Amino acid sequence: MTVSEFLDVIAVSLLFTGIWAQIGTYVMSKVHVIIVQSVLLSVYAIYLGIITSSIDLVILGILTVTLRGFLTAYILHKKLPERGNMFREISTGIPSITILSVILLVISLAIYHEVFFPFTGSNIGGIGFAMIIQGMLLIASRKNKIAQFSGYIEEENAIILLSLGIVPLPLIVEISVLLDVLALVIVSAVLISETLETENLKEMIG
Amino acid sequence: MIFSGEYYVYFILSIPVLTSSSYFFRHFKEIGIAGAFVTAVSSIILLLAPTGVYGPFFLNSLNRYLIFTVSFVYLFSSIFASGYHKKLGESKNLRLHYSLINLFTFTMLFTLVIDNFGLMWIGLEATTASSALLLIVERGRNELEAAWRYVILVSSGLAIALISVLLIFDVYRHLTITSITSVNINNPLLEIAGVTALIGFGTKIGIFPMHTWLPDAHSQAPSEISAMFSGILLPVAVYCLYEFYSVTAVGPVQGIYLVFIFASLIFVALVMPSQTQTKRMFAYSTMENMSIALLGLITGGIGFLGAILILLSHAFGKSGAFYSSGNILEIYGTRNITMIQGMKKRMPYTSSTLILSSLAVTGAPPFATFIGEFLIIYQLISMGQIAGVIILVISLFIISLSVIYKVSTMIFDGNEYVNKEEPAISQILVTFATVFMSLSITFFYLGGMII
Repeated sequence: MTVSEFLDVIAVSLLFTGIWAQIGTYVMSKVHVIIVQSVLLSVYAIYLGIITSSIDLVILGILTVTLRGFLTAYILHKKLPERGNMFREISTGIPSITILSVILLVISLAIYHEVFFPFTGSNIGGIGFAMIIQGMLLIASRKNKIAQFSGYIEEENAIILLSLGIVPLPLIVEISVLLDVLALVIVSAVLISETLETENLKEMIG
Repeated sequence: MIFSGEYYVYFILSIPVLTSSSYFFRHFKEIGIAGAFVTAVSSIILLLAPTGVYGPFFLNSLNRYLIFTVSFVYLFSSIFASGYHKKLGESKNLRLHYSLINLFTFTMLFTLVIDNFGLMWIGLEATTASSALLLIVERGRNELEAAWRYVILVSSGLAIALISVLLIFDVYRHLTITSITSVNINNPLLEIAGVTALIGFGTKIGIFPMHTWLPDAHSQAPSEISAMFSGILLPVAVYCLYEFYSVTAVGPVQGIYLVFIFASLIFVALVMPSQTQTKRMFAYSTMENMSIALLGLITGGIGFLGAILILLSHAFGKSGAFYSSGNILEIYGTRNITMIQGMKKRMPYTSSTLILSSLAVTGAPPFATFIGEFLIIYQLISMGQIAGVIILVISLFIISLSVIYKVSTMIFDGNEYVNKEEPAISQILVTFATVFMSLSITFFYLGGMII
């Protein structure tokens, strides 16, 4: 397997985790998606860092797996109520959302191919772009805060993959760290909240 | 200046960072206010400094005014919070609140002065990280929900804006703002960067339809934080979007921006008459003000000056409106407009600040928002955008009428049997100061001090 093929396999696996995040109502599976996705992205960054002799990318990979794959996931796991494995979202539209997610996946890949690809020449960027859309769908379509949060993490991972695919930004490590800090702030906001479902409160209508 | 401009910018940036350590001191409020005072005075000196590059920072015709407004609203909010949160005593929550106000100010100042698109994005994203917990000082159910919506929606939106940074880097191979703006490259990737910047930063600014977090966060946040969000945070986001627009304004980008701006104005005009809560009403008014300021910036010419006048006057006028709303909430215990009556006799000072600040934010003369809106309309006419002028004028009319009518009912209805009550004197003085500052912008302009 060539270097390029290995990176392609990881990127496609990341795309599958994006679809996995849309399926099912068990909240624990969302935490698993965060872990698997972060580990895959970390492997991608470290491997790319080694073959391009870029210490920044190696650091990025280590930070991704430590902050996102371990710390954030651990805190979320702690937040789940007892018998967390059985804890489910209150949602009725999952089958429709899953179908919508597949349709959006095809559309986003087509848009990338038509609009971005002629200028960037990167296929990996297309996977990053499709994952951004999947992350946004997860945030917009769910009411459970952990499911929405996993959408945010997916979007964050997708942005990093997009950057690695098109052109590694000089500030990629700083950006990644900041995104993780923000993720932890979000997690802390979930942690002090009484309920894990978003609410339609009377004072916030109109 | 006593020492070089670069070190002076470092000095200003270091003040809120240092005062954020106030968490560990008993006199955390006094430390916060003293730091904010030094920052505000220092910002006046920076306002007089020539534009140009100062090491990794830069000053231009827009950001130096915003540094001034950020510093002064920071000062006013620090003072206002000391009275507004007195029931929290010296609790850890309030200590953290004060520390985060300082850090939040640092992130805004950093975003304004940094001469790098990537670091500018990092700065603006850091404003979200530092301000999310400011909404939940009292840990109420509504506050928690609003904070959640704010942080998840804005951070998701700003992630889209990062695509713009990526595409600009792909085209120019560096991110230095002053170098990029001096070179004119026509690359289709920049069109995409312009649109993703609009979606990303537009979420933070509250451009329709990415605005949904804005009324929730502004209405549920403590009043000094609502003032900072509306008066200075959103203008900082407008500034960022304008800087990105400056290098991506190729092809149909300006037209796309105009569509979203006018859609925002129409949306606010449609929802404003049905608003039932004070702070939510002013939150929607912020959407309108930011849309017009952005309109002035992207149309350029005399409209650019109009935008500066609106951003300056709005910063203080809207702060005054939110401080007044906070004072009303403290005395009446509600945000519901229909339940607030008899203000003229019960809260005579707050009545004055509420009506004056409402006039300021709705663009009534003699406030500078009126002059700013006039200049932007003039610019649109000179560009032949007659349809835009019609939408703008009708929207402004509906929005202004709605706000003034609702404020008038709170002040002038039901004044028969009420006793006089006012919040702490520091809150009243700060509210008057913001209204005075908003009014004084007109005289600064007429005196030729705003160019």
